[in-house]
Amino acid sequence: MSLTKYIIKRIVYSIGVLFGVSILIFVISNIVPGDPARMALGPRAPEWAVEDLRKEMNLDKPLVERYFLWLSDLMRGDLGESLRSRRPITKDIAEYLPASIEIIALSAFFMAVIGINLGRLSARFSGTWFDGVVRILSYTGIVTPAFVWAILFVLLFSYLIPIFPTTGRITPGLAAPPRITGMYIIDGLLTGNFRVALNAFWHIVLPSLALSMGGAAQAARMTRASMVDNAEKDYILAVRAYGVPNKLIYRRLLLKPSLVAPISIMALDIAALLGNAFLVELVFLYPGISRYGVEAMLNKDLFAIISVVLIIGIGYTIANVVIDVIIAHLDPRVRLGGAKSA
Amino acid sequence: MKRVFLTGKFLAFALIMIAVFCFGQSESIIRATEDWPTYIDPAVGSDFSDCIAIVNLYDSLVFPNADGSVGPHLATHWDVTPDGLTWTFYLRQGVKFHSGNELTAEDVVFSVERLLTMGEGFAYMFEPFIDEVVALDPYTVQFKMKKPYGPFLSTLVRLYILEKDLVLQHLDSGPYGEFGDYGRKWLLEHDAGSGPYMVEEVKMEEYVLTKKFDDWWGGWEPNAPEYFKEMATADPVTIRTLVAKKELEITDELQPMESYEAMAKMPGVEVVRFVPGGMNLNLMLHTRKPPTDDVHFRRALAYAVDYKTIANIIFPGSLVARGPVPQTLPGHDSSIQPWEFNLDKAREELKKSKYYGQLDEYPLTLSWCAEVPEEEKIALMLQANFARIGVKLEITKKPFGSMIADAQNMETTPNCSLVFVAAHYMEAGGMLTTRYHSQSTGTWEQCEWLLNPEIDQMIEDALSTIDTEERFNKYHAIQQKLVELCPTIWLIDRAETRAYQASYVSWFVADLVHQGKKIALPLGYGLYAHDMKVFPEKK
Repeated sequence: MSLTKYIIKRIVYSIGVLFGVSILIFVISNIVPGDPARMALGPRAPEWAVEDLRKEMNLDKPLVERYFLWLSDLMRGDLGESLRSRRPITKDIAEYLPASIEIIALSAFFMAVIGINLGRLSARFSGTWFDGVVRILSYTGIVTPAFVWAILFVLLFSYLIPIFPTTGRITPGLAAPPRITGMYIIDGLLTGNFRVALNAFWHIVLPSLALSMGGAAQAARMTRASMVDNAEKDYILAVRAYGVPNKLIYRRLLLKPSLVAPISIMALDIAALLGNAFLVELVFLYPGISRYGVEAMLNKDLFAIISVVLIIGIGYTIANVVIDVIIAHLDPRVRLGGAKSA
Repeated sequence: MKRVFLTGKFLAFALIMIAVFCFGQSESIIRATEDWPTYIDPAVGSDFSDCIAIVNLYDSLVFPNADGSVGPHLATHWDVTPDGLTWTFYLRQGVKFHSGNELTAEDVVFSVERLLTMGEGFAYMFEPFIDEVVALDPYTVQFKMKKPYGPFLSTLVRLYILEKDLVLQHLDSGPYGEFGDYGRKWLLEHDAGSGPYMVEEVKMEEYVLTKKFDDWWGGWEPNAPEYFKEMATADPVTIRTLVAKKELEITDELQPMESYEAMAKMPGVEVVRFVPGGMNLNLMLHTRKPPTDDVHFRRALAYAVDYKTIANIIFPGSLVARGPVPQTLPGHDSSIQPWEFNLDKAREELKKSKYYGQLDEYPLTLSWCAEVPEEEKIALMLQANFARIGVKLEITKKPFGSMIADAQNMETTPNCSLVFVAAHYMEAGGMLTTRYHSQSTGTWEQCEWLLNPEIDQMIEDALSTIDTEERFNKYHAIQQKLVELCPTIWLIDRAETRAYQASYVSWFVADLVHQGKKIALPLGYGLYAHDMKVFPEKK
C-alpha cells in the first residue's frame, strides 16, 4: 500500500471515529443533571427568560432531533453559542486554540530536545553516575504533575529570580500583533513586530516547560531503554567489531531505530496536552482551550463541551496519523501494515 | 569547561536583557483579581466580578454611600407621589457618554426597557415593580410603578444607563424583534456608558482593562488611577507572586487564609478584613420535613452551634450573626441578640420537641456547597455537636448546581442546607423577601419552605411603605418574628478579606476599616477605582 493510500484510509477511519465521538459526547453532555439554561442565566433570572433560552438552544426538542440540528449546524461551520462566554464558539476557539497550539508546540520541542538527548546520553553512559541521575530525574518528572512544575517554576523563575513573566500571553501595554494565525509569536514575526514575538515567546517558556516535563521524562526513559536494548543487537556488535567509534554508533546508528517507541508516546502526550493543560493554564492565567473546556464542563456549557471534545478528538487523530507516518519513515519494517510478512 | 562557563554567562546576560527589554514598566494602574467570567453588559451581569466592572463603566441615577444610604448621582434630585406609585427623577445636565454624546432621559428609558425585556442581570429587582418609564423632557424621567415600593431608591444603584444611539448602532440578529439582540454581542467587549472608566480591552478569559474617562462629569482628584484592570483570579501561588512583584494591587477575596497571612508579611502589603453589607451564612432548616418541622427541635439545634469558632477561625473577621439580616445592612434590628452555644439549653429545648425520645428514627440530612471547602469544616463541627445532644447528622457535599436542583422540590430539599446569601440591595427588605416570602420557595435562597402567610403579609406591607423610618420599624418586627420561628440558624455575617499594596495605593475601603467605620457597600462598589489613588513612584 502506498503512503498516500494509507493516509487516506486513516483519514476515512478517523472521520468515522469522530462521528462516533460526537454522538457519545452529545448524549453524555445532554443527560448529565442540571439545566444549562438556568445555569447560564443564574438562579434569579425569571422563568420566562430561562424558557426562552431553552427554546433558543432547542432544549425543548427530543435528544435525537437536537443532535441532528446540531450536526447540520456543524456542517455549516456553526458550533453554536457558548453559554459562558455568550458569543459564538467558533470565535472562542479561534481565540483559545492558537494560544494552546503555541504552548503545545514549544512543549513538544522541549519534550523532544530534553527527553531524547537525556535518554541518548543516559544510554551512552549507562551504568555510570550520570545515568543514575537521569533515571532519578526521569522518575521525578513522570510522577510529578505538570501543575506542580508550574507552581515550582513560578516560584523559582518569576518570584525568586524574576526573569520570566507570571501570567498572560503578552505584557499589558503591548498591543497584540495583527491577527493572521492567532499565534502571537508567528503573527509577530510575520508582521515584523519582533518585540511582540519575543515578548509572547517569553510568556510561554514557563508554561511550556511545565507541560513538557512529564513527556520529556517519559521520552528519556524510553529512549534510554530502547538504545540500551538495541546496543546489544548483532548489527551493532558487528559495527563495534569494525572499530567504529562509540560516539558515532550512538549518534548515527542507534538513535534512529530506537526512537520508534519514544516518538509514539511523545506524540500521544502532545495530543493529550490539548485537554490536560487546564491546571497549568490556570496557574499562568493563560487563555488556552483546555481551561476553556474545563470551565465549559463546570458550567454545563453544552455546545462548548462538545466542540472542545471534538477538537481534542481531532488532535488525537492527527497525532496518530502523524505517528504512523513518522514511524514508517524511521523503521521501514513496520511500513504500512499491508506489507506481507516474509 | 571555560567554553561552558562563558556560554552560561552569555545566556544569563541574554535572559536579563530580554527580561528588561520585554518588561519593567511603571504605570498608574490598579489591578484587581476576581472570580471569572466577567460580563460587562449591565443587562447581563450581576455577579461580583460583573459588578466591579459595571460600576466603573456605567453611571446610575443614585449612588451608594458607605453607610448603606444612597445619594444623588446622575439624578440630582427626585420626588415621589404620596401613594408611592410615581417617581420623578431630575437628571444632571451636561453628562457625557464615553462617545462624547450627552446623556438624556431617553437613554434612561431605553436602559430600563432593555433590562426588563432581556430579563437577565438585575432585571429581577425591577420587573415586579416598574410598570412604565417615560421621558418627560430631556432631563426628567418618570417611573410609574405597578405597586408602591419603598426600597426603590436603594435598588436604583443597580440600574445602569447606556447610550441608546450607540447600542442601536451595534444590533445583531436576536430574539428581541426590531432590537435584534439588543446589542448584547457588542456589549460583551465594549461599553456604552458614561462612568469614570471606559473599556480599553476585554479578553474574555483573562481581563477587562479600562482607561480613565477624562471628561467624566464628576471630575478627578490628583493621582486617580489612569487604568483599572480586573483580572481573573488564579492559583494562590500565582496571586502571591503577582503581589510580591507589585503586579497586582488588590487581591480577590477567595484566597486561602494562609495566603493572606503570607501576603501580610510582604513589605508594603496590608491585609484588610471588613464585613460588607449583606452577606450571611445560613443553616437553612426545612420547616416542612420532620424533625426540623418542630420549632423546639430547631431551637435545640441553634443552641448546639459553636458560632465563635466559625466567626473567628473558619471565617476570620466575620461577625456572629444577629438574626436574619446582616448587621451592616440598613434595616437590621440591633436589639436582636445572637444565639449562644449552650448544650444544656439545647437539651432543654429538645425535651420540649415532639421528637424527643425517638431521635434515632429521625436522622438529619445536611448538604454543603462543594464550591466552598470551608463549609465542610462547619458541617463536621455541627455533626459532632449535634451528636452530643443525641441528634444524628448525615452530611452530603453537593455542587451548587445540585443544591439549586434539590431546593426546587419540597421532598428533595434536605433538613439542613449550608448556604451563603447576599442581599440584593442594601436594605433589609431585599434579604427578607428573597429569604422568607413564600414566592421564593423552590429556590436555593429559601430551603426552609416557610410558607407563612403572616410573614408574607408583613413583608409586603413593609415593602409598600414609602416612609423609611416606618418601613424599617416594620422590618424589625419581621426579624423578631423570624427569630421566634427559628426557621434558620444564622451563623455569621461574612467578612471579606483582601490584600492590597498599602505602600503605593490609597484605597477608601481600607481607610474606612482603619477608621473603624461601617461599610455597607453593594457588590462591586468597594472597587470603585475613581475613589482610589495610586502613587507609582512609591513602588
